[in-house]
Amino acid sequence: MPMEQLEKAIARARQNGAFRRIQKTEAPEKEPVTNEHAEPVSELRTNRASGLKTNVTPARLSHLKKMRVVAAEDERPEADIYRVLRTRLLHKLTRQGFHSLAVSSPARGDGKTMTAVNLAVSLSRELSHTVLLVDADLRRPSVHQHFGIKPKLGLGDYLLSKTELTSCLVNPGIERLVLLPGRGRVGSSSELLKSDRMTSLASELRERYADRIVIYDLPPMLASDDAIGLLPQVESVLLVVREGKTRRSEIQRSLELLKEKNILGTVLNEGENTTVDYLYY
Amino acid sequence: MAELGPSETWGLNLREALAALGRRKWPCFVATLLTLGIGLGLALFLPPVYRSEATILIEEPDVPPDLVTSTVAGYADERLQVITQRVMTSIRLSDVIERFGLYPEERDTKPMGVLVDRLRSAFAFNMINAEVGDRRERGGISAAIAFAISFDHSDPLVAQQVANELVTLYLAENLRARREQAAQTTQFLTGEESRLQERLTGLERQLAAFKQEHTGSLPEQMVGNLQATTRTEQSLLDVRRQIRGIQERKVYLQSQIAQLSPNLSPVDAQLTGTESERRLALLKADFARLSGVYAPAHPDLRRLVREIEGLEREAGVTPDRRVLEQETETTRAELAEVSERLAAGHPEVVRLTAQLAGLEQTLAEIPVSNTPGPTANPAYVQIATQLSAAEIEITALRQQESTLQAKIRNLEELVLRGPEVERTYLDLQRNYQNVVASYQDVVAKRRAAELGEALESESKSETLSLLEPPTLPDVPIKPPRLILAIASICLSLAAGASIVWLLEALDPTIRGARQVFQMVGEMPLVTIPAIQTRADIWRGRTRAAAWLISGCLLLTGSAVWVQKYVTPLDVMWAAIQQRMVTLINSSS
Repeated sequence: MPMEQLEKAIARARQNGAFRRIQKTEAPEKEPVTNEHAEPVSELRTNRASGLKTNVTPARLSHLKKMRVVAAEDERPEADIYRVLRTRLLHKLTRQGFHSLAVSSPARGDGKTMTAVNLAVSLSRELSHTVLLVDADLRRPSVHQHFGIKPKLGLGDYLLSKTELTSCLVNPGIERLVLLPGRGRVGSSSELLKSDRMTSLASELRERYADRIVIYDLPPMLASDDAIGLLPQVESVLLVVREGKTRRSEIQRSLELLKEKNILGTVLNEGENTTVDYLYY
Repeated sequence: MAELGPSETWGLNLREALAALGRRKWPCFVATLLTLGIGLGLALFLPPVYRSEATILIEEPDVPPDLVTSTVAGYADERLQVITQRVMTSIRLSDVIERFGLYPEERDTKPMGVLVDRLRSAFAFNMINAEVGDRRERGGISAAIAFAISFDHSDPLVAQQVANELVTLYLAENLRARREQAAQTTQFLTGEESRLQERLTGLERQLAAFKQEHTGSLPEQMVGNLQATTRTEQSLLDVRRQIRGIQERKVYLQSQIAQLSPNLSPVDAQLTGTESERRLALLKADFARLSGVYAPAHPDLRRLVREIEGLEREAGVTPDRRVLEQETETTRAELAEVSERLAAGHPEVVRLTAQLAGLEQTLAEIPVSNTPGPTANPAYVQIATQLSAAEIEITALRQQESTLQAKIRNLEELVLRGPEVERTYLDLQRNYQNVVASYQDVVAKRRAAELGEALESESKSETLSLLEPPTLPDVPIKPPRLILAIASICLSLAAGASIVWLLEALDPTIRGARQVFQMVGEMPLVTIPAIQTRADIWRGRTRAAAWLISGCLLLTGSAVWVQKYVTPLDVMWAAIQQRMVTLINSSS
C-alpha cells in the first residue's frame, strides 16, 4: 500500500537525517508542554527566508493536536492527505505562475481555516517554499487560535494604518511559516479589505519573493461580502466544503460568486469515502 | 473532465450506497425493525377468519315449460339478486345478530346499523354459471345453474350456523316470492276478466235495445221487408183487380135495374102470389125448424127472417097475428112442461126456448097495422139486393186496398232507414266483437295463470335445492400467515431502504466527492476525513453510553408498565407460546 511505502520512505529519510532540522524545530515546541499554562514568550527573530522580522510565538504540539492541525504530525494518515493536497496545489500554482492562494468556503464551520492552517503547515515542510498565512477574516479571525497564539496586533490594525506590517507578523515556531493573524473584531471589514492599503499589501506580498506562497484564509463566501471584496487581490481560490454540512445550494452560490476567479480546486472535508481511493490517483 | 462510467453518472455506486446506509443506519434500523415487528405481529396475532360455504342448485322445473309456463319470469341471476336484497335487509340481519349473539362486545358500543353492515360484508354470494346451448331462447350464453353463499366469522361453528340460517332464508324467500308473484298474476287476470264481462253485458244490452228500437230496419230484416213489400204489392194488385171486377158487375146490374120498376103491377103481383105463398110457407117451415136449433142471432136465421119478410111484403101478406100468438102460447106451454120434466141443458128444452124466442121476436116485429103496401117487384128487389151487396163488397175491398197501401208505405220507410241503422248496428256489433275477443284472450290467460299458480304451490316449477350444506371449516381462510410474514420481511427491507433513500434524497448537503464533481466539474483535490481528537472520541463514547442506558431504561420502564397495566408478562409469554403452538399445529 502506498501509505505504508510512504511511511517507510519517511522513516528511512529520518534515519538519514533529512528531517533533523525539523526535528530540532519540534524539540523546542515540545518543551513548553511542561509549562502548558505559561505564556509563550514572544521574541523578535529575523525570519531568514522572508527577511521580515517576526515575533516568535511557538505553538504547542498538544494544542495543535487539539486543533486538528495534523500536518505537523507525520504519523497520522491525514497528514499524508494534506501532503497530497499540497503537492497538487503546488503543481497547479507553479504551472500558472501563481504565488497566492485564497482558501474559502461557503459558510462558517466548513473547515476552511483548519484546511488553510494544515495546508500552510504542510507547505512549509516543503523545502523549496516559504509560506505566509494571512488571516483575512477580519470579523472572526481564528487562525491564531489554531496555534494557540494571542496576537497583539493583526491585519485589521495594519489596514487601519495603526501599525507597521512587521509588528503584526508572527512566527509560530514552524520553519518557513509566518502568520499574519487577525485580532479581535474589526468593523467595516469589507471596506478595509477593498482599500488601497490592502491592495498594495497584497501585490507586494505576492511579488516580493518568488519562492513564497501567500495563503489567505478568507471569511466565508456567503457570510458577508468581505471575501468577494478581497477576491480581486487573489490569484487563485481553493474552495472547502464539508460533507454533511455544506448545502449544495450554498456551493452553487459560491461557485457563481467565484465565476471569474481561478478555482484551483475543491476540498471535501469530513468526507466518508476518503483517503484510500484518492491515493490511487 | 474525467470520463465517467455509469455508476458515477447514475449515482448507483455501491460504495456510496453503503456509505449512505452507514450514515442513516439508525433510522434504517428503526424503520426496518418497526415494520418487521408490526408485520410479524400481524402475521402471528391476527385473529383467524373461518368461512362456511353452501352451494344451492337451481333446479329445472318438473313440468316442462312448454306444457305449463311459469308466471315467474326473468333470468335466474336477476331473481337471485332480488332475493339477496330481500334476505339482506337490516331487519333480518339484525335479527340474525340477536339470535346468534354475534359481535357481543360491540353490541353496546356500536349502533346496530354498523354491525348489520359488518355482517353484510362478511357474507359473499357467487353465481356459478355454465354455457348453455339453444335449449332456451337465450341462445349460447352462460346461464346460472347454481350459486354459492358463504359467511365469514372468527368462530367456525358460528360461521356454519349463520350460513345455515342464511341458506334457510334464501330458500324460504325464493318460494314465497314465486308463489306471491303467481298468485298476483292470477288475481290480476281474474279482475280483468270480470271487468270485461261487465262490459260485455252492457254492450249486449245496448245491442238488444238498439235492435228493439230499430226493429224492422235491421239489416237482417231487409230481405224480409223486400219480400213483404213484393207480396203486399201483389195483394194490392189482387184487391184492385177484384174491385174492378165488382165495379164492372155493378155497372151491369145498374143497367139492369134501370129497366125495371121497383113495384109490380097488380097483375104481376097476383101471378107471382101463389108462388110466393108457397115459397113463404116453405121458408116459414124452415124458420121454425132452424130456430129450434140455432140461436135467434144466427146468420142463417137472420137471413131467413129477412127473406121471409121480404116475401111477405111482396105478397102483401101480413102474418096472422092471432095465429102467431096461438103458436107462441102453445110453444110456451110445451116449454113449461118440458122444463119440469127435464133439466135446463136438455136439448129439447133448449130447442123449445129458442123457438119461443123466435116466435116472440117475430110477433114483436109484426107491425100492428096490416095495410098491405104496394107489391114490390121481386126482380127489382133481387137486383137491388145484389147491387147493395156489390157496394158493400167494394167498400170492404177499398178498405183492404188502403190497408195494403199503408202497409207498403210503412215497409218502404223501414227499408229507407235501413242503411243508417245498418251503419250504427255494425259499429255496435264490431265493438262488441272486439270486447268478446279481449275477453276470450283474458280468460285463456287467466287459465294459464291459474295453472302457473298451481305449479308454484306444488313446487313443480324452477326450485332452489341445497346441493351442499354449509361446511364446518377447520382451516381459516384469513389471514394468510405465511404470506404476511414473508411480505412483512420484504416490506421491512423496503421500508429500511426507503427511509435511507428518502433521507438521502431530502439531504440538501453535499455528500460524496461525486456530487462535488457534479457541481464543480472536477473531483475534489482531496477528501479529508473527519479528524478525531481525543475529545471527539470521548464524546462519541459518552453519547453511545447515554443511548444504551436510556434504551435499557425505556425497555425496563415499558416492561413494568405492561406488567402493571396491560397483562402480566408471564401471562403474555404463555399466550405467545400458546399461539405459536397453535400456529405450528395448524400449518403442519
